[in-house]
Amino acid sequence: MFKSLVYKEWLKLRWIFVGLAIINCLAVINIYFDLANTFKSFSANVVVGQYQFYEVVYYSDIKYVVLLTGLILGIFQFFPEMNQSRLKLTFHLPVNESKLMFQMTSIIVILLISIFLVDTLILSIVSLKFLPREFFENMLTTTLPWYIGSICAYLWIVIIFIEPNWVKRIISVLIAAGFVNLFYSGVGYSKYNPSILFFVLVAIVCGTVYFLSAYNFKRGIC
Amino acid sequence: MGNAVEIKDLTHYYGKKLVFENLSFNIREGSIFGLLGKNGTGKTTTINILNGFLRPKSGKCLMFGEDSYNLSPVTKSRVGFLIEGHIQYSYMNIKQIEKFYSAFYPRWKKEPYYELMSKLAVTENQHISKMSCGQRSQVALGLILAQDPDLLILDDYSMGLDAGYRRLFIDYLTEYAKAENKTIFITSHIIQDLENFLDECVILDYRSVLCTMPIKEFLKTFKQFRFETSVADLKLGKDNVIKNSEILKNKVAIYTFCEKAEVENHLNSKGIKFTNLHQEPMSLEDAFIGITGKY
Repeated sequence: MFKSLVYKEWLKLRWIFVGLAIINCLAVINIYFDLANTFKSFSANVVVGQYQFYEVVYYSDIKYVVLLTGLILGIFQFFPEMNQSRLKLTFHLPVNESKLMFQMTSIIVILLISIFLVDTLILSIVSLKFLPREFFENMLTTTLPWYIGSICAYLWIVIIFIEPNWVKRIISVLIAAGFVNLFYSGVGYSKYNPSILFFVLVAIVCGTVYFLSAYNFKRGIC
Repeated sequence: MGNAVEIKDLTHYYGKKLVFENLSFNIREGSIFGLLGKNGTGKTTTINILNGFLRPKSGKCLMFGEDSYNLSPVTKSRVGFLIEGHIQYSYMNIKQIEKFYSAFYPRWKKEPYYELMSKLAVTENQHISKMSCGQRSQVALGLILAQDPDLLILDDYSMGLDAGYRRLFIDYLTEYAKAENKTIFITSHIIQDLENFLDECVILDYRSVLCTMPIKEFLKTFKQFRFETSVADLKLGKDNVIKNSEILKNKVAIYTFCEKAEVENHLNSKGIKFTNLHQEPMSLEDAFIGITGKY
């Protein structure tokens, strides 16, 4: 049954997923060319020195690309479900509703992680090619909160879409804006290192809150 | 045979607005049951409660003996559900949607689905979003038939369908229900289509139930009497005898479950002068409008 649910989500989201994966790849490839140009124009010592001194985040272009990736996947997954109450069809399937919701969101989280792994792989190659190893390590810890933030943003989109009560929906938008902003506020390298665990916990909380909205949806669908 | 559905003293509000109060009826296994009522009387609300999509304020709603708000996957697999407007996953095509649903239902039979699809002028790769309302209704019906459920819940199957597709829908259902001894629970705005289809019905009014009975009994016992009167500005209220009335100048129609003699006595006791009191035959649609009123 999970395979069949994957099939449904894939049919719904394949082009959006492919499009977002391409945009992510183009964004990181663009970073490669930017770095290549910089190293062509200036000596490596000057560039590395400047980057270290000013904590230049040369991969900052992907910060909002990953955020948008989560938001767009959430919108395209749940807009068709909520349009004309199609979620009723899904909830009528002979599977426990909580399990269905968990499976539907898990599929997207896996897709997001797969895109982010590719981003990280290309960024790692780029960083190791042009810069000392510490830049690569900083890149990993700096980008991790952005990826977790994107997953959180996706989960909040789910909550906002399936919440049937408009007041609760507006409150959810405000809370979501606050929560997601946390992940993207840091400036410089590895600013969030001490709080990575906190971010993981925030993501887990977001991952459970949507069950409440799913419960509200089921209790009050009309 | 037992009951597929048992509804007892169901009451529901949207905010402070009462939708219905103490709604009670049972649907026998193997019967075709209609939920009739004008717009806004709570038909879709009842169906949402029955499918577990809405928690009622009070009362009981059981499907195959299970509380409808907490249906087990096994019970859900025994229920085929047509959503108002024949809603389906419109981003899938005919083949994909059959493949998707088939994994969820152990008794899945794809033959009735593809038999229905072969009658439509569509290819297997045509997306549901690009189909007409009539074609979409056949996709939705085909999927329900392939599921082979014991109970079919059809919410306003006639919405957006022309006469041909409505007839096709009812013909298929009649054939299927009789051959397989299925239980059908149906709502529709087009009452005339259901006259020879339903076994029993419940008729809802705003906030209350007007009647619950076998359709043949309803058509036999519910009557329309017409007469002429010389009384100017005649006003007839509802009471034990008169369930509804229509007055146009000096011509009066009253709707009742009583016999002619009782109606005569009732009019005399009210001091209403009348001539030419006679019974008019009624179709199910006439009777429905008679009991619910035109407004």
